[in-house]
Amino acid sequence: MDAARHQETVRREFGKQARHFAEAGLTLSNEDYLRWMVDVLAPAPHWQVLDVATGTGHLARALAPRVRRVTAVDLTPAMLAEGRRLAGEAGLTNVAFAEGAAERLPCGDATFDLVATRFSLHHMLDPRGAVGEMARVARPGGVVAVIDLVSPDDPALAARYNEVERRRDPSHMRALTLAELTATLEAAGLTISQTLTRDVEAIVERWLEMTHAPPDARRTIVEALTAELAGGPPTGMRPFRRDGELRFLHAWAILLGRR
Amino acid sequence: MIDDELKAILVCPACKGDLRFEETRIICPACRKAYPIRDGIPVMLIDEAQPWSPSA
Repeated sequence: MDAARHQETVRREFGKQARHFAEAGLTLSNEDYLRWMVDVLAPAPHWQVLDVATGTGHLARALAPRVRRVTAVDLTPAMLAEGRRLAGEAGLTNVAFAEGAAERLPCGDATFDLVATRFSLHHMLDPRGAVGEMARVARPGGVVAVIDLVSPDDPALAARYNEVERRRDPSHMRALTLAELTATLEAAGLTISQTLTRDVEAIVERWLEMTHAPPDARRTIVEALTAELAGGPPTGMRPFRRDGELRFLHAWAILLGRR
Repeated sequence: MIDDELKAILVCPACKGDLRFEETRIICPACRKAYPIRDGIPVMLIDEAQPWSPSA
């Protein structure tokens, strides 16, 4: 897939999601998880922060009260507009939004104390290029933080897992394994200072609703997960049923690299 | 309106050089490109930049 076409897919899919993204209550935008992320990032009040592929600025807005300033960059104008509205609503005055590509950041070298990105790498054609750019704009001694989905280690299972994710969201390219995420940071010259993983429970119906997945994709995914529960082939999604609802475990990781 | 702190952070995404800020666009004199400002948000994408010449 060429870069321009993928960029168009990302913008279209996130354009659809912009409004929904800001709604409270979905497992994936849960305040608790954001608080967990911010605590792991352990920001200092004087920090200058860059949030790459910010979306509607979930992480940027969560960090803003604890740092001096956050610059939030994303590819999709609808997401940025929604992020700015929510930042205004929250009375945040130290977040600035700009449209930009992770692989070509519009920021100078060695500028930020923290450069973070949350749930973005799996959308990218060139995650190494993006993390390389993040390392470039981090100041020496600064932190680059990658928060993302983690693919199963087994290649066949990873392929099936990513296929499910892609059906739900055509802008999903590929979630990396933990080893690949580590190698991506190291290739950017970063020294890994912390790696955390966490299994997060998601309700399938809500998770499908978030991306407005088309009916046939929903049906295929639900069928595959149900079949796995009945002893069929594994999807890499780790499905289970609780309170009458089909659920699965999403693997998340936070990797911190020091420049 | 782009505030001064953001102006201090932004560079050209292509050459990483300094920019000149105008009311409705952002100029990279080195690349001879003009990046649009839409709805108050700077659009720092190389594909979206217009050609610019010093005489304009």
